[in-house]
Amino acid sequence: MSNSHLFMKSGFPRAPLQNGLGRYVCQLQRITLKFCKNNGSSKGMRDFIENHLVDFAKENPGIVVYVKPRRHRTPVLVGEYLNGDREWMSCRNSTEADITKWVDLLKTQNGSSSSLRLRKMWHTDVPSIQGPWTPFLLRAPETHGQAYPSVDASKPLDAPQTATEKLIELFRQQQLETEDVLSQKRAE
Amino acid sequence: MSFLSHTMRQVLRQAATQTSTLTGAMRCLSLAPALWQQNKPAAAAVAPIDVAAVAKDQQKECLSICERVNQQVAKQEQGRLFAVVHLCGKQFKITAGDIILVEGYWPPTTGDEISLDKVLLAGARDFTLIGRPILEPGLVTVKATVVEKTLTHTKTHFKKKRRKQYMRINFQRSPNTMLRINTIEVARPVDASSEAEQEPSKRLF
Amino acid sequence: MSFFRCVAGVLVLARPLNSVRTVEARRHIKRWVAPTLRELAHRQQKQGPQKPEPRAGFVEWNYRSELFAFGKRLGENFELPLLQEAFTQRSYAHQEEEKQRKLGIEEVDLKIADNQQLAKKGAHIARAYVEAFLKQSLPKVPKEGQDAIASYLLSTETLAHVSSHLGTKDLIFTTEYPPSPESLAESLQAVIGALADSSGVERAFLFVRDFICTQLNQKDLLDLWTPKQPLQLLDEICQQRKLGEVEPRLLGDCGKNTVLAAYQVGIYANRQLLGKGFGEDVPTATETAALDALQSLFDIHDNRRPFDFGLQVETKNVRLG
Repeated sequence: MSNSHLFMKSGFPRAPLQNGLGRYVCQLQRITLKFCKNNGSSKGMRDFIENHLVDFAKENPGIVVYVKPRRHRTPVLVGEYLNGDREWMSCRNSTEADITKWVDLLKTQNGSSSSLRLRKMWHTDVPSIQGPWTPFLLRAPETHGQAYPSVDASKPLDAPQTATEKLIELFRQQQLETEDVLSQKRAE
Repeated sequence: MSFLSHTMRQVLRQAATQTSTLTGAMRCLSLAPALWQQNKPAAAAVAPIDVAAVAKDQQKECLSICERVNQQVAKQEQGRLFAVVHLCGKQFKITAGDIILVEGYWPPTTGDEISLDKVLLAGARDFTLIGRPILEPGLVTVKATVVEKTLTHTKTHFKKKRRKQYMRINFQRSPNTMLRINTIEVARPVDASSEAEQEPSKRLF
Repeated sequence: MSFFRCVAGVLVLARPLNSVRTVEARRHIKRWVAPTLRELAHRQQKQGPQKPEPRAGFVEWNYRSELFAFGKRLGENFELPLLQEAFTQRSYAHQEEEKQRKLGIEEVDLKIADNQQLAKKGAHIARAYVEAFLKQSLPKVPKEGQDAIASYLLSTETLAHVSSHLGTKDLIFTTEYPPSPESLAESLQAVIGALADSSGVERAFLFVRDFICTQLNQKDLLDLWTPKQPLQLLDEICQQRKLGEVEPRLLGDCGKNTVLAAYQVGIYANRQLLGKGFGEDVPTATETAALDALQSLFDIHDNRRPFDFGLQVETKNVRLG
């Protein structure tokens, strides 16, 4: 079981140099393809260099491509980014298609992504536009002149009616009704 | 749950006696137009209300609000706008200059400028436009640029059953796309009448 | 490590077949590997942290293609000799001349051009454009505030940050590596100058807008410029604009005579609420309220209209002097 990601550096999404606001700048500065000319593990890399590399370099004039043959070593992709990151990737026994995909990934990244665990999927420096809530916000005008401590304001809004209060209310109602009856009789 | 229902019952039972104080307390918290709130205790006290008159009043109020919003937008005094957009199954609260991340496979590539059309809500300092469920298409334009497409860190999926000689370990990385929000703008005047006539069946993707 | 393992494997294979069967021969990582590595690590630790090696010293390095890619990456067309000149610091040019003199070359043709001229020009362009941009984006802010924000944008730290994120770090010819913030900033200014020379001043203006002005994105402008004695400033401004007498009033308080006291003060002028603020005592609250009022008068609140980085500042508004 690997729990290495628990101790991995964690962070929040940021784009280097406010990228995408003015103009978009590809963050991959240069890419180095290292391979062996006769080892079998470099077959895919050799195929990639033969078939796709020139097109890749033409499509992306902003990326400097270095090709470095070396004897009896595994093929390697190294991407260097504008923020100083360097991504090293072993391509041992990878096929041509795999390498195309990895190169594309290196191109679209902003830096070395494998070493950062993201904690949020959102970043802003202006979290509130209509303003945060405070207890002083939208107070009823009558509370301004309120003197504390006050008996009325200390009562809970949803206090249940007690039995005594209920009885008093019933009694008053009864009184009113009897008064009504009496007054009607008097009127008659 | 039972606690909730209990309190609800209590509140309901005392509705007649406490309405005025409760609405008083709510009025000072709520942003809704005072008209609606003032109607509530009146409805409890007086049985016959002129529904048509109230509806007319509300419409008038609504129109005047729209008018004020339009004036503010026309003078460019609305300040910073924010919006809640629906993007790839998730909702993001965004404002100009923000960064959001879309998880999973998503075709746009880096450098693409796209517009986010499913706007659920847009707001500024003084007003909020709320969609039902989304705002009229074309009312608010949200422009964004794709800044990065990358993979997450390697996540480990490990499962083991004890005493059963069963153990599996898988590693996976899923694609992530980073978006930069460029602008949020109210493209055309907010109009209450056209909004009412708008057919809700228009689908957006 | 894998190299050692390979070597060990090769050594094992290279032995005659009959000796492979012995028990010791199956050990793939040799006994000397761990102590050797430990010794190497120990020596490295003893030497302390090493300086980073300049990228230009690597085998895979082609300065010309790097220069070409630098321009293409930013979507600009540079004249490569000009760009190279922009990356040559004065100290480096002096050093090279010294070297040539020692070798006995005394010709005037071999004089290496440095970026002083270009940097001067670039700095001038950047300042002019940033000031015009701020004037257009923050019309209500007084001159003093605009100057403070412009000086933040054109400070050495900001310029060095921008410069290093454009990838100039490896391209600069300096005597020291990594280059100091001053030389990074200077070379960025020189790049702006070189751009103005190669593709025109308009492109240079756009460059400044896209890479320097965007640093203002979602920045709290009060961090960059806070007026000192806000209440007095507010008083002066209200007198100038004839808004009436400034009058702070207590709007609310909470927890008086406790550690967690909070006061809310509103600033009124001619019965109009200008701004309100909180504080742990009344003077602090008044000050925050005055700042808030100034923010709304100058339109530098957090929820102000965001900067428009697609803005086209007309060339005639940029005072190049």
